[in-house]
Order: sequence, then structure tokens, then C-alpha cells
Amino acid sequence: MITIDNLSFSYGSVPVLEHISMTLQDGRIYGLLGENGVGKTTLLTLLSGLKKPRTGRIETDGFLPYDRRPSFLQDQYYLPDEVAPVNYTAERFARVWGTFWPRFSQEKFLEILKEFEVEPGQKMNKMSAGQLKKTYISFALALGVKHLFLDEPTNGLDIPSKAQFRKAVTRYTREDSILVISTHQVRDLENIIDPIVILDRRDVLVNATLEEISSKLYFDYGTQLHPEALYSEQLPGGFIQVLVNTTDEESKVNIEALFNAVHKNKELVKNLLKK
Amino acid sequence: MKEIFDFKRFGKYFVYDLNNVYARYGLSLLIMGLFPLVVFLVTLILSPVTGGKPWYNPDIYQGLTFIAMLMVSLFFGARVYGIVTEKKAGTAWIILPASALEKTLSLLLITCVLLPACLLALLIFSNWIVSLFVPNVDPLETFRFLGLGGWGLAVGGFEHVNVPLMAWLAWCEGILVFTLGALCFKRTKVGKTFLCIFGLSILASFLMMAIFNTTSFNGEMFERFFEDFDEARAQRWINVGLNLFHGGVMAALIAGIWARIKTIKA
Repeated sequence: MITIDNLSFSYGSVPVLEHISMTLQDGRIYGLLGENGVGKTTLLTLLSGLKKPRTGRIETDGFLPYDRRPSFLQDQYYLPDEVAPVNYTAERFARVWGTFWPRFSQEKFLEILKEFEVEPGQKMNKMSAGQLKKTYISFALALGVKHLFLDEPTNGLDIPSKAQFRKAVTRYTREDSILVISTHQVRDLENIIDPIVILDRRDVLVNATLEEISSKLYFDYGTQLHPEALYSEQLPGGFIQVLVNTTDEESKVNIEALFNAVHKNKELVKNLLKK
Repeated sequence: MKEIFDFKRFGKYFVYDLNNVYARYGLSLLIMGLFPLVVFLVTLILSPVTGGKPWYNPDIYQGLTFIAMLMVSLFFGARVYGIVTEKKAGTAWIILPASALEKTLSLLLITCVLLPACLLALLIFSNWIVSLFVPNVDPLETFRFLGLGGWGLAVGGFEHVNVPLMAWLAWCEGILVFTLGALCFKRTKVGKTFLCIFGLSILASFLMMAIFNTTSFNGEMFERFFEDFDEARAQRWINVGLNLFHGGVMAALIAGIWARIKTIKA
């Protein structure tokens, strides 16, 4: 379990995160959403021990990430948005680096790489951006770590690779692992992320499972416009509208509409989804 | 304790670090180690054109050896360990599961033991090849230049001062200070390190002036010292002074590198 308590961080005098608190439970794939500049990447780097909180505290299974104790690092991995094109073949890179993570499996790495259709004998500094990203994703998933933080993992992937990514994430992650995936491409990950975390600079607006969201909000895909809707958007052949669920009727959560509804009605949705 | 140091994990990290050094600096080291030989061979090839003998001058040869060593100690840290301040490569290095102590020890072993040993081997090899072409060249020229072939080269008559140890410590201090600079500065690593050394030197000279201006250090004290001067005593003073100075500088550099590795952020 990861506990974030009253966390604040700033770059010089520019505050990025202020008094953020939340809990991330084992065995979940969190979708971390937020507008540009709210601090999604900063939060991921704080969770992985790459930065030190200005105030507040992060605790990951009893470890403080910034202490960077080897036994903590051995059970986590952070995949940044931009990755380094090292002068190794994919196969050698995984063999040399993977040795530091006790649960790393070279066979699993090659298996995932094959699914992504990347040649293991290819030098990484000769790969395209998409191939390089797929190599790192394969490596991250083959590590067998409990805490995996992925920053915009589908950026630069082609359409078949996005589907392969979803398949690989559900197939190769541990039962008890915590995945936090920061993304703007919510449609790419709609079927795998649950719960949803929507971050604002000064607050966590939403940290709820899809079930909890659909019990409080109703997603209407009909043709009739509801003036009381928290958010509505015209689509070809109808509307997508987000309403307060007053009838306990179930509906399929549309993450993009949810995100827009939250941003138009921050306090209301926050209070509605408060646990 | 295992969180601070573990032999198995250190072994893995050291192998990884060696791979990294080989990939990033292997060729440069080879070029630097063979630099005096290359210069000699160029003059050998050009000698029929210039109508002279292949050039050789012990002073210039030693100068070339010095340049090779200087270039390695200036740029090795920036080329191999400078990546830790880069956004992409630095992030991957920081989250590599090894402790700050293990990463520091590996860096020290490579920069202070393996690197000088490899460079020395290459320089000796260069020297030996040159001695095959020019009969009056001493095959141990490099050894002599580094103070390894005989005692007292650098300190005149004080034969018991440990010159090879001092030469090695001076190398370690030189390369470690530029490695620390490479870990601290994001850009123009070597230039900024030079500026820092310059600034610190000025500060140290002001400090020394302030100390000598105090009443406890006056002319009488020096006169008394030279009145009962003897060689053995002077030798002891020099040894103690040098040991204290180099010990202090090395300890400060190692502590600085460890602290930087421990607290570096991405």
C-alpha cells in the first residue's frame, strides 16, 4: 500500500503539488489523470524516490521512497515518458539491467518483446521512438515488481501496439502489484485502469473505482439533452452527458466525459465521490 | 546492513559499471594510452619526406605522456559518470537497485585503481614500442617520469618520501575532483569544475594569509625552526604534512561524491 500524506512539492518558488493526500491500494491499476502542469509526472517521480517531498510524507510498504533503499528499489520501477536510447541490443540491455531486480525474467521480456514485434537483436540507439518505448515497456513488465509507475506509456505507440500494451499489462503484472499510469490518452487505457485518480494542483479531485463512480454519477448516451447535466458533449447521433446518479441506475463510465465533468464541477464531484 | 552494502549486489553493480565504462570510454582510453606512440609513429612515417631521423626527445615524450594523463583525468568523469545529471539516463541510473555506498565504491575502484592501471599499461606499451625503434630510448621512461622507477625524483634528497604513493594520490585527487564536478554540474562540467578549483584556491590563499598574519606565526618561529633543522626531521614534517593534506582532500572528495550520489534528484 502507498500512503501519501499532506504532500507538497515545488520547483524553486513555483508550487506544483500542495497538501496532497491519498492512499493507493495493492492489486490495482490506477489511471492518473490531470490537466497539463498539475504535477502528474512530479507525483510519479516522488513515488519512485527520484525527488524529495518539500513537506509531507510518502510511505510505500513501510519505505520512504527518497531513502532509495535497495530492497525498495528492487520492487519498483519508473518508466518515464522519454527513455534513453542506450548503445546495447534490446536483449543485452535487459540481461545487464534486469539482473538488479530479483524477479526479472529474461524469457518473459523476450516474450513481451515478440508480442510487440520488436527484434531483440536490434541496437536500442538505432530503434525508432515507438520501438524504443516498446522495449522499455517490455522490460518494465518483465521485472515482476510490485510498484510500477508508467508515465504516458502509450505515447508514440501505433494502434496495434496500444492493444498489445493493454493485453501485456493485464497479463504480466503481479496480482498484488500497484500500477500507476499517468496518461492523457484515456481512450487507450479505458478498459484497464480502475480506479481513476484525477489530480488538481491543490487537491486530489477523484480517487475512486469505476464502480464507485458509476454509483454516484450517471453517464447518459441518449439523444435527449438534460439541462441539469454536469457535463454534456454532442457526439454523432446523440450526446454523452454526465449526471448525478439519483436512481442508482448503472452506466458505463466514460473517462473523458468524467474528466471534463470533474473540471467543470470540482467541489461538487469531489464531495460526491468523497469516501 | 544489507541495505548499505551487499557483496553480491556490489559485484553486479561493478560489472554493470565496467560495461558502462567500456561502452563510453573504452576507445578514448585506448587512444589516450597510445597517444605518445601515435605521435612518434607519425614522425617515423614522415621522416623520409622530411629527410630526417624519426623524432624523439625525452622531454617532449614525457610531455605527451603528461598530456594523455591530463586529458583522461579531465574528461573521464564527465564522459562516464556525467550522464547521471541527464534527464533520461540519469533517471534510469538513480533507480538502479544498488546503495549509494556501492555506487560510490564502484566509481572509486574504477577511477582510482582500474583506470590508472589500464592507462599505465598502455603508456608502458607505447614506451616499449618506441624503444624498439630508437635504441637510446629507455623502455622505462614512463616509469621514471611517474616517479615509479626510482626514489627521490620529485623531492630531491628526501629519499624516504613515498613518491609513487604521492603520484597515485595526486592522480586520484585530480580525477575525483573532475568526477565530482561531472556529478554536480549539468553542462560545461569541466569548465565549471575549473572555475570552482580557481575560486577555492583564491579562498585558500586568503585563508593562509590570514593565518600567517596572526601573532602566533611570526618570523621568530621560523627562525627557531631553521636553527635546529635536520634532514630527518624535515622529512618527517613533509611526510606528516603531505599525508594529512592528501588524506583530508581524499576524504572530502569521497564524502562529496557519496553525498551527491545519495541525494541526486531527477
